[in-house]
Amino acid sequence: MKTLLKYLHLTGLMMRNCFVRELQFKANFVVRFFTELMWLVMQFIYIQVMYGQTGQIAGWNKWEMIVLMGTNYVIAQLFEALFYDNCVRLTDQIRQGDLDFNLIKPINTQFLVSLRYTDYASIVNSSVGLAVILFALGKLGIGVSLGGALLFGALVLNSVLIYYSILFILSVWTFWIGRSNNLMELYWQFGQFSRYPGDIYPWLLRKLLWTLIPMLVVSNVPAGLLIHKLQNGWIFYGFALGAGFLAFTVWIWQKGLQRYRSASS
Amino acid sequence: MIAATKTSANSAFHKYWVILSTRTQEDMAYRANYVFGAIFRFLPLVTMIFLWWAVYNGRKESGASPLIGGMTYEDMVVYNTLMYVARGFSSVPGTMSDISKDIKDGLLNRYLIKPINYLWYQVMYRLAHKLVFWYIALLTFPPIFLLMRNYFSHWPTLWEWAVFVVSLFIAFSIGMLFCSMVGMLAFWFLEISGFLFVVMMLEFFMSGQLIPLNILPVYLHRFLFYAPFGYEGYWPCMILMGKVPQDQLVPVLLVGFLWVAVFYGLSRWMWNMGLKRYSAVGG
Amino acid sequence: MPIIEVEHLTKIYRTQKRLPGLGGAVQGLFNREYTEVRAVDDVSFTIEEGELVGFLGPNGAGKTTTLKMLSGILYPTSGKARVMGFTPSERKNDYRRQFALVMGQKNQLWWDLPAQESLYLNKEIYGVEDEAYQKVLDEMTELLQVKKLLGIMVRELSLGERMKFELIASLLHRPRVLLLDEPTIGLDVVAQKNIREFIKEYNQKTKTTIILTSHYMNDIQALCDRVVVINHGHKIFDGRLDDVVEKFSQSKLITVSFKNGNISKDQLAPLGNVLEYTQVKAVLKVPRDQVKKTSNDLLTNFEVDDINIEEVPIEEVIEMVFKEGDQ
Repeated sequence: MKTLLKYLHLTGLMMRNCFVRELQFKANFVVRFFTELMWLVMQFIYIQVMYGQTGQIAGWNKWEMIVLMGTNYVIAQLFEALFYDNCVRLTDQIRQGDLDFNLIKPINTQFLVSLRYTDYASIVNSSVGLAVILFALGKLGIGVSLGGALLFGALVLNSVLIYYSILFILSVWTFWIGRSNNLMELYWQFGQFSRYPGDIYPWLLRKLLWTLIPMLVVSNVPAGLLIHKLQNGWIFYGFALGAGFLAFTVWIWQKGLQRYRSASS
Repeated sequence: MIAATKTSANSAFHKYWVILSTRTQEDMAYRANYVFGAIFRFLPLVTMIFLWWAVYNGRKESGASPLIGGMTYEDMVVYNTLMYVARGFSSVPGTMSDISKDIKDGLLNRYLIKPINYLWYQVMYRLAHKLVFWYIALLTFPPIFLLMRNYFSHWPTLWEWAVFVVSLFIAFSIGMLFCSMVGMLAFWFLEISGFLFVVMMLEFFMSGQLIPLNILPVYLHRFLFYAPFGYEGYWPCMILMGKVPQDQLVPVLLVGFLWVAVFYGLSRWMWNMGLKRYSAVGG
Repeated sequence: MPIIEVEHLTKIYRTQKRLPGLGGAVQGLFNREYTEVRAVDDVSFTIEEGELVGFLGPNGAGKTTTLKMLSGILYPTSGKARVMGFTPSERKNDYRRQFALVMGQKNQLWWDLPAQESLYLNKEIYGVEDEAYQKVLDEMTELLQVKKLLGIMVRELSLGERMKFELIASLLHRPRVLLLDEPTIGLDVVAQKNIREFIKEYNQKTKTTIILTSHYMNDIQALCDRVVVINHGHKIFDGRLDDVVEKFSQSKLITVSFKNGNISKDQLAPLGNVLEYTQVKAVLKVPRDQVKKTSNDLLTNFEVDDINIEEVPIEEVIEMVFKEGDQ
């Protein structure tokens, strides 16, 4: 408990530092905010154009699709706020030997490298995504209980951690393959899979996206919970999968560190 | 930088070649990174194809026409695949951020004291990236096109091939010039990294990479047909698919060249203005 | 019991062989050959608590690699290192709370924030109490004369100022072992001197065990009684700095000035290697065992005004040692 408090405190401290840092680049912050907003609008136009051609896609109507879009957006933004920058920086740190100081601190190294930078624009944006979800739920006439909202929150967090685990594992691969910035782009590319209902994919791909590359677990489970398109078993499955992935990151991180070369610039 | 010591007339070209070829070597040293990059590049294509399939399927079930914007499902698949070829030429990832970073961190000095033109250096550097991309693409594209051979309903004429090749040159020029200009905004604004996403997104949308431009609402696509971004994706694809009427091929190219000229002039101007500012501030 | 014990420590890097040119790079995509580099090769030594030991060696000799293994940053390929009873590569928190590493070529301060923010974060990471923190901070900023700079963005500090804060950041938790890797690299002479003096004072006051690597002879000479000389991954000397000269230099220098200035160079040549020559003064390099005889010869055969016998300067000896290692 004391350790947990210490780590929370340190997280807060690093987030505060990033906030102070962010204040120096206010203009950038505003631009980022509107950029991400535009991204959302663009997805909205996309869905609009698609549903201009047909009334339903794989059994989902337009507003259900928008709940999915919003959910996915919230998750992606939270992930990007907390972890994305850190994962990308990690690949550089491994390659250029900049992990040294992280390794000598009397604290969990994975924690230190994973949470150092926070992107505040993304945090603000995730709330926009939440507004989109609420709006779409209103259109569908679906209410959410407190328990449902809490469970949704937990699932969103779980999804963020799954994203983190995948990206972290890819970054850590740098220890073996020397450079993996192309692998980092995978986030944007895998991310596409989670934007749509699982049923648009053929059997084999769908199975893959529910297990090994769990892009459907990430988005379809929390969104499915909201619009009642989900059996309870999937919720447990989602949490179990998240825990498994997280455990794997710890293991591979330790393995990778043994290969660290600490190149001097 | 060995080549920079040579002074003969044609070494001016040789210099860029050395920059270009060393860049390629550097990239190839990280083999796995490239192989993965080349394979996973096609993931978005997969989602797009399945989404379009679901859309066409939805239309079929409701009894609507099987054509969207004059394109069958097969056309749509071909369009999205060809988009990779076009964007393979027009997208120059990292250009905007590298240029803005060089300016912001004062790294420009490193180049200014060398007998090379910075912007041409960037072009060569990106060409090197493209070379590696195409080196690997040559292994990945043929099987994909072979796999989809039944989806092609139109075999391009020799004339269409020629126009297509020219349009790819326009695609690279516009992509490169545009990204350089955006990167050079760093002369005037301290931190533009966030802004770069806006630009990338606009490119993504306006080049027709997300949705073929002719499916967009009329007021949008009328405008986008004349905008420069269509040349980074939409036009090369449509030209090769035979969806551009014969008598419009040349006008389309001419507008493209016009944009290249305008962008070239603008970027030279920005560079000169920016450099004045850069040295005034002291880098 | 020694605070640092190193036995047969070895680190081998495997690097890919690159063929030259574009063709080679393409070939490298498909088929790769590796070469082994023995960065640190069978190095052993012990260090007692409170010692200030200098690691001396040219670039790439293995000094930094050794320090990184002592910090737990790198896993040794073979051999053992124990510091304060811990095995560094296990990276136990108890161990990491008790040592510090400062690297002249890398920085841990947040670039876009005032130095004090990074210091405070370090305080919290190391769990230093508020009072102790304030005390160390006051003391160090005073000593290094950077108190006024605490609130300035790190990116706006000079290299020397940044280095001082790097030092402070590493000393907040009062480490028992301090590893300094080229702390004065790239600094101007004044900043070098400041930092050197600080290290000396700190070592004397706190009895902290310090290992210092540097390729500035001045640093080592001013600070270290004991040096470990490393070249090509091997330890080639371990002992007092003065003894380096005795061990590696087979010659001494005889400086002689003459009463009347008409001695020619040819007259001196048979006596030894003439390094400097003017008509009134000459410097001769003479093998150790012949110093006595040569001085006698000089005194009897020439009208000598003054004669002076010295050791070869240490820089030159060290330089010679490294050069020999290369052959």
